Amino acid sequence: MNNGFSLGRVGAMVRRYVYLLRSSVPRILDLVYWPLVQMLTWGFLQTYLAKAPAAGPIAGRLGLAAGALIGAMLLWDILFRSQLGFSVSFLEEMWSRNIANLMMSPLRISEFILSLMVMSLIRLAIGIVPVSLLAIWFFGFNLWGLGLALGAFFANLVLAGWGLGLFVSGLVLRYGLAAESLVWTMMFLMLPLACVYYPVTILPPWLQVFAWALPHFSFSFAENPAK
Amino acid sequence: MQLAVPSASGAFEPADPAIEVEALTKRFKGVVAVDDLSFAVARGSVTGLLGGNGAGKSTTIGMIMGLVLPTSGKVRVLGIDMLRERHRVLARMNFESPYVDMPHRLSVRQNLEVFARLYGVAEIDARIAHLASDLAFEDLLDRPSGQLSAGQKTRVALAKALINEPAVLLLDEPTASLDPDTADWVRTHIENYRGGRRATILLASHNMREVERLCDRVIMLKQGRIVGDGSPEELLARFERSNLEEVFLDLARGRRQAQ
Repeated sequence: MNNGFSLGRVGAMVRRYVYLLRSSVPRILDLVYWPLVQMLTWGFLQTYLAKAPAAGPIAGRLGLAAGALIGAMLLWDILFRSQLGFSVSFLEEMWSRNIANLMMSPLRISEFILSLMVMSLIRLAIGIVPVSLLAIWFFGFNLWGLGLALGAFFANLVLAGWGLGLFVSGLVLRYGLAAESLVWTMMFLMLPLACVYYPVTILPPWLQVFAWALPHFSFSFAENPAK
Repeated sequence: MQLAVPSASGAFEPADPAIEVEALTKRFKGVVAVDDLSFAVARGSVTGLLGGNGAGKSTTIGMIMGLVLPTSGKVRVLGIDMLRERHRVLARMNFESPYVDMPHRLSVRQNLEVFARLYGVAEIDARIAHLASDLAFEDLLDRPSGQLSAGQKTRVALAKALINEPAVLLLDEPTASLDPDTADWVRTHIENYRGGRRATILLASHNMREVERLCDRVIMLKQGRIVGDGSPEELLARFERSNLEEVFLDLARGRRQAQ
């Protein structure tokens, strides 16, 4: 019997979450629904700003901001959905009162966490990949055009999402389903400092320190990916 | 610690106990749920933990499984320290409780398959087919677990508990909320498993008939302490009662002191 880390047990858990996901079409649609709605909303705003009559330096800023908004939104969604993907898979165990079965099995905590990470990526791919492709088709915004930088940025965002997902899941385990709402809301505590819809430089200097310390200041990157 | 347990020939011989609990204590915010509990469970035996609500049965089982961290004390299962090395023994244990469930949207087969993989079962399809036949739920295998009745759920939960043919089986009120026929059926199956596998079973229950029927030994708990310990026959003789329910009521209502 293998008492060490087992990829087989990780695979068993991923299989279980895939079974769960597959068993509910509304849940699969839900993965695409919000990213799609957000992309359309910010995409239309981008189109409006691009066509808005503006004079002088404001015109340039509007055009730049409009181009950055949809990208920033998609990057923010990568962060938010990676956390949600991690935490919701964990919540499935709490909702089904299955956590004791798992804790009593040979499954190790590290294997459990890795399976939640894998599921987070699967859920993220289902939600973000089609929406990012639609953004090219609808609004000519190509997130994939960021190239290798997107990979580094994606890794940064996903790791931050998993970190918060792990923290929130710990709170749910400690305090029970009474803490469930934190899964959906905790990330928004970071939103002001994430600078999704404005550049970091707009923050007071003392807050900028915290914003730059976070791995997900999306607007600045999308505004000028060459930086 | 050495215990005398019956061998295959019926003779008693010393053996390491399957479960050893030593000075086990659990406090929840100042409330003592389990108070300096010590006992050992012989290999191949069925031991019942009896007690009223809040007596500490489920907390004790939780600590034996390693799910609840003791405030102090030690637990060893098959010689392994559960606080430090529980992963060395978890594959040889399992448990069943009506208070723990499986994902409702997954079919019975999918749920059992996942647990079989977690426990490293070799021939998964064959094992599931065997259990389904043995526990008479072959027709339920492809049904979502959430659509099962209480009796059907218990049979599936028992199949999950037996998926790895555990040497140590912990049962927390295994027949709670079952009708008498289904409960009897479950007890028969537990007896058969113990007989066939020579497994060690620790059973927490409120049901005196169940305990009398299944258990070689009964440990009675009250407020986290042992207030009676012996075979059902010994306890009946000691308390001069005709059944365990009367013994239980004597102890619960303080009509008799611990002996």
